[in-house]
Amino acid sequence: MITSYECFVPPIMGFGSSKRIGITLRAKGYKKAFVIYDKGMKDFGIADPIIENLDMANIEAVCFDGVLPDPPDEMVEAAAGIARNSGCDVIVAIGGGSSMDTAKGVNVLINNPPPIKQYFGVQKNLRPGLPMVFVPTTSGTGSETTNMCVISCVSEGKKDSVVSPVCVGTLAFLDPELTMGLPPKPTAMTGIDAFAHAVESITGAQANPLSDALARDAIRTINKWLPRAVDNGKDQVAREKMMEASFFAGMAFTNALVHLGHSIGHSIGATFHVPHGLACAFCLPEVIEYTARTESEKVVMICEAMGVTVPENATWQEIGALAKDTIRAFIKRIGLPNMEESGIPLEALLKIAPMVTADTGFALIPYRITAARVAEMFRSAYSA
Amino acid sequence: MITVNERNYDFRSGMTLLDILKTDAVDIHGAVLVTLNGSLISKEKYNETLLNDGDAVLAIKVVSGG
Amino acid sequence: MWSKLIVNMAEATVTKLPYDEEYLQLGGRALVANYFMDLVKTGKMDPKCDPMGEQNVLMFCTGVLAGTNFTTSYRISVGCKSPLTGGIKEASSGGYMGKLMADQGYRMITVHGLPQDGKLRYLHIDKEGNAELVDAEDLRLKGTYDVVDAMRERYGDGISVACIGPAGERLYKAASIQISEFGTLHPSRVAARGGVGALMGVKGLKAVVIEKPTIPYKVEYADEAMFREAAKELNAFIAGAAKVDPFHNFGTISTIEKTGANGILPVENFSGKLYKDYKKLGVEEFLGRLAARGGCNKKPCQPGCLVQCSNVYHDADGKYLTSGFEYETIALFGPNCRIDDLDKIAVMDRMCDDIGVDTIEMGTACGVAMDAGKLEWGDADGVIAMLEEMRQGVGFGPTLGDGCEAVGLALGAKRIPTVKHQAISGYDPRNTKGTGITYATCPQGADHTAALTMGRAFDDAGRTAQAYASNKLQVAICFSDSMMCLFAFSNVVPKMHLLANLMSGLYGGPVDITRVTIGLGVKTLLTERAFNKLAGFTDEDDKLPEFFLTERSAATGAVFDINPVEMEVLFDF
Repeated sequence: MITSYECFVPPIMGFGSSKRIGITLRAKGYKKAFVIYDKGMKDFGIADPIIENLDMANIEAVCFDGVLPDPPDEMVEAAAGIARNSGCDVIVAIGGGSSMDTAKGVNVLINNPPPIKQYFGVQKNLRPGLPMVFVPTTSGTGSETTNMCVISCVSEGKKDSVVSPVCVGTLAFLDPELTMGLPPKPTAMTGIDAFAHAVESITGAQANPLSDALARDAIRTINKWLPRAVDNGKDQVAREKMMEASFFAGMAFTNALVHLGHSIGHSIGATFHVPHGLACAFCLPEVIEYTARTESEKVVMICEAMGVTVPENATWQEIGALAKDTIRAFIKRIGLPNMEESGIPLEALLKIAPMVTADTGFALIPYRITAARVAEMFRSAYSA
Repeated sequence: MITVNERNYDFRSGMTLLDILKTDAVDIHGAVLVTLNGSLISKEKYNETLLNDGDAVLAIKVVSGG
Repeated sequence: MWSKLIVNMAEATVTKLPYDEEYLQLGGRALVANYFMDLVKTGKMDPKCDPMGEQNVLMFCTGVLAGTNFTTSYRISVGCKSPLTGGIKEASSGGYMGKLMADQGYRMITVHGLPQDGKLRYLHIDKEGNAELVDAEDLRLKGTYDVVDAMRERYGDGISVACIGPAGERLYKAASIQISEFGTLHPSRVAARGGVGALMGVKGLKAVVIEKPTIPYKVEYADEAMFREAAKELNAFIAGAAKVDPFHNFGTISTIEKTGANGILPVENFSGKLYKDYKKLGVEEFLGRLAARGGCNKKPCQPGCLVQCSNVYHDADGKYLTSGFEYETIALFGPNCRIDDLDKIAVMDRMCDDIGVDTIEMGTACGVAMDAGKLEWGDADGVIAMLEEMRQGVGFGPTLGDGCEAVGLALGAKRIPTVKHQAISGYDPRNTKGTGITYATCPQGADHTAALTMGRAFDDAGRTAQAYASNKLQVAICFSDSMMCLFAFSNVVPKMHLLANLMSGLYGGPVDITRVTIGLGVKTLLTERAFNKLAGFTDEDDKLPEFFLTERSAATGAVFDINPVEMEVLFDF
């Protein structure tokens, strides 16, 4: 199998690294930054120090603080309108996936006319926008590493992605300091999203040796440090390790792609309005178990990265079952509820199995399954 | 006015076919065939083909087979 | 009320009957699958029977929207148990036959039994709708162009002719049924694959000639306003999309501009190499010759077609040479044989149409013959001579006429590009793996039109989304082949949901796209698979030839390395 690794965003990493944003951007010749974040970033005091840091380096900031979760296209188009007329020469996004995806959507619309929904899908020929600098504050969606943004189309009631080189960042600042204040629940939910990226990318159809190496390392790190970050948010080492693992997992999936776990996550998230990370986590054990039929070597890698030894002559069914149990135990360890505990009705859940098979990500799964099989996974995971 | 796949662009004197293809972000290195007012123009000639006001360009992607 | 025609060759009778109520909402590929499965279920056909024996039926049927103004609704399908593959076969074609069948009020013509007296006949349907079998002894072994000329002389120009040439009469397994084109009457459209011409030949049927009726049949609509509104929107949309469709602007030859560049074009019997001079067979060369010699493209092969992909090709002296000159023929007689003389390939195209034989089987067979040393690579004149032997039924001709696999076996070749005995077409499966999956799994045998995945996965030579694309497209093409032309369908996808409105407007019932996607799509595919299973096919028949799995393509370094599990589960619905 011939594979390739293409998408890469250079990071500046470590505690305090976000304090270099001013001098770094000045050295690159930028003069005016369009800074995108949500009101939470302002309220938690994360946005202001960065804006001031830019100001001290003589970089003017035009601020947009209207980021909403699951960025709606109308909001993105409004932000883009402001950005286009602002005379900015760089975009800075501070926050979680929503801020970063908003920034990417704005960048698509800098030199390509709205509406953004016409650009859903893989776009090879969009006109380039501005350089983008990402400052993630969760660990995380990995959006700072990817070439896509997920936008909600309000008029059609659906979410879709724009996949394009215009969505690739120029630089990322990975500063664990900015995640210190994240409470346990969001820490667990964003952490499990990173975990899902790692285990799905390693079992996906575009997996390659480089993404596998990054994924294995991320799995190992998350397995050890996410529980600690959830138990004690002030644990600096745990926060640092999680930021690193989230970035590695992001690098892995940006090239190897995610598959069934995220297709299920999208469907459950859209229907029952559950946070993205949790939605992906619900059936992740069953998903990895399913992949063992064609990706058993990779599932063994996952088990070993989580400290579990797989017997030499194990069948693919046994390997899958072992991985399922291991991952489920981990999810419980970090305090995440199952679907029953989250108040999702079983009947309504089973009904959305066809939605999963219609998700665009379903094209990426290692081997074809039916909606009935997805429903089986739902049953297995429901009150597990 | 020049059109590329029925999208409108302002005409400027001295504009070449290559110019308008770039403006429309056509991937000229992909499997794309370009016609000007119905006539096929070969890739080597994009740069030397001057446009006139009112010209219609089609950038046709070869995607499927038959 | 629609009718059907039952032609009994053993008794030389023709009977007109009302068209079956339960087949009303089926057409084309879906109808073929259901009809032949019904024959099996009612005990009228043993699925393991000899396809050239008495039990096999030759069917001509229209699509499910025939008789309406929806563009490309006049495709014609030929159905049978294939003399080449032994499995279910639906060979579809453009041309004028679908329109005149519908005008005459026929959805289906089925030909049964074998002639007892060894005589050759043709079926004639006159202006008043009278149908009879007519003696065709004077047309014995005549080429299809001569047959059309003879029929024009007898009945004028307002006719469609479906006929076999000497290949069908000689029962060659690669024999086709040629169908005359709307307007020009050239027998250059074709129900090509699977040896349908041989079945027509063994039944002693030389041609089906339909005259334009004085009083055309009027389709009855359940809700005509709904139909017309949807058809208007769809037709307008297809017309708009056709403006930037390479098939409209240039013809199917344009495909070589992509396949020649990325290693998908077959070269030297599917060696996997690149062909440096593929542009000699490209659009620029083609359009230049058309312009200089009086040929043309942008021709519709059936009335009302908005894609208009057909063409007329003249020789260097400006005289008519061939029409319907297509990518597959050019690729397989061309770089696959190391031939890049477009005029010589046009001669081969003309010969194949006239002899009545599948150019895909012939092109691949010649590639195999060259690979086995019977001819030199690039020997276009040698190919032409071999085709002539086939017309005459002498020398290597009969072997060639039986197609690619027969040629390979006769010459002891190691590299025979076939699946279910049918030749694969102009796309190297290592470099468009989804198409490779289609070749292997499609119930029709190696068939690219069933799901050509080029450009629909991330990387044509990679793994991701290939099985997904093949599965999705195989379903889509099943229903497309039941109602319209694939080239119009590829342009209608964003408005596909309106196909449900067409069905409701025509036949009543709820506006529900699953009537199309499942009723005509998934169900057809599963019925075809079920038929094949009863005919004796196993998982072993869903495999590509070994050499594609072991020989690396020099163009991309790829082998066909799709995990067999992905193919095993392809039809899990």
